[in-house]
Amino acid sequence: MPTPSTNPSRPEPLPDRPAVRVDLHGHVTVLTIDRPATRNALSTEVLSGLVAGLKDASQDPDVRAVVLTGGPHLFASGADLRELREISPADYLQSERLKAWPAIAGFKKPIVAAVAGYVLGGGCEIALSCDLIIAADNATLGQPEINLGIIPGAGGTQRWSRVAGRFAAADIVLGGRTVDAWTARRLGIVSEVVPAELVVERAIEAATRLATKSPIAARLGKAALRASEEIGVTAGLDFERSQLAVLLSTQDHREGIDAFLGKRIAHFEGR
Amino acid sequence: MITVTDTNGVHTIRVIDPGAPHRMGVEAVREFDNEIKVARRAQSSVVLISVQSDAWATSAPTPDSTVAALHQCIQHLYALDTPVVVHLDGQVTGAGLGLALASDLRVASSRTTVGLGDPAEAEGLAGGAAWLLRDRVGSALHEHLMWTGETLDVSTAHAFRLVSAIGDVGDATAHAERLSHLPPTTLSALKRSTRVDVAEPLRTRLNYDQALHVVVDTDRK
Repeated sequence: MPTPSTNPSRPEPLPDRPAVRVDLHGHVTVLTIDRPATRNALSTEVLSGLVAGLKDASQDPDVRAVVLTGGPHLFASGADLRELREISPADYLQSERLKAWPAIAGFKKPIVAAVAGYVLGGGCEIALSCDLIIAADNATLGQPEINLGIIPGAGGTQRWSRVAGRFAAADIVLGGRTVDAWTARRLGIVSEVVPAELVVERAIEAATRLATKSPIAARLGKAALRASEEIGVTAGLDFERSQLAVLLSTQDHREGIDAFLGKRIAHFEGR
Repeated sequence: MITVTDTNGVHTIRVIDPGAPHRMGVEAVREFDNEIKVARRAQSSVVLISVQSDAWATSAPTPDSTVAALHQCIQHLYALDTPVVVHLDGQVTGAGLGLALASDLRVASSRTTVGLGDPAEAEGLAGGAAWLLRDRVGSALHEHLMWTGETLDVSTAHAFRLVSAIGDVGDATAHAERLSHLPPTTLSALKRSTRVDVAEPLRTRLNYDQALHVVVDTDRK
């Protein structure tokens, strides 16, 4: 559940370190939410940090994949209630925090979420916006907004329905039910459950594997996957075909085929 | 009716027999459940539960409210992230067997007997024994105990590995202390390996058995 301040009118002083830590592992950028005192509540500061980190990763040609994490103990406990309690509908719709969601969902390179502990509310919506989710064995996912008299506002209703089916989604969104990592695995949301101690490491390994692929193919493939959530099958097939046609003009595709025929590892340069 | 001590990395919960009308009643179950939550927060290496006499013998019939409390308690006990050693020393029936099976190692005294209770009382529906017994030992034994109401002596229970060892509370304490000397990371890893993808199936089964218990209870009234 989101973590309320003990005194809503007096926000806690911010630590000196950034809300989102940025680390580079080869071709993978790791963005770590670093506000454990508030259980990584998704304050405007945290969301702005994520947006900034993703923007830098997007513009850096050496970065081919991103890992989003809160570390091995928790991911994000949801919205910062202090910010959410008093905000008006008009202010909410114009707030800076809303820019974070399209920045995450629209990020064109692969994102792997390494989730642990509480993955609730907005935290869960961030995870669902990613391309792969590696879950720690201590992870609990859910959308508890209904318990606060509200509903998810960053894609929870839409994404849960699409990934888990409407009925499982109703249990989570309307019933406020949480699921453990293994159940999330069975629902098809989580690709792997790992010991919490290794969740970030395993996510970096997964992202590194993605980073070895052609970055252009990864980008267009991601676009095609995302399109499948928006458009019908016939239009989706046309879109997929058009993306493939573009890739046939790249050096990466020749490199990939040459490497396969030459029984060697391909080295994609993103051209 | 519970005392707690913390010694040498072992968090010991002694469940004292409150006597026939109060055994496994809702108050006793809730008190025990609270101690399980305390044990979780205590973060000891090992939890030792010492069950005195017939404290875990169910007094049939179990009211539905007690079944609900029992099922919460069993899930909390089963989910403890440290090894749980239990010493049994009397009748262990119905939900009491469920609690015993939710533990990791069961050491039982020579006078211990185990069973699911009289099928006419449907006590096998309370306490998760169905799922835990099938998971721990097998469906054949579960169905035999459920349909016959047979009570097993400790030697037979040991032969079926329903109990890990026959001994007194000192033996159980020795087991717990031996485990407490293992590195915490090792204990955690071993425990987690025994709990892969079981929380949801256990909860599903407990909810279903509880509903069946309501059906039987309603029919009785």
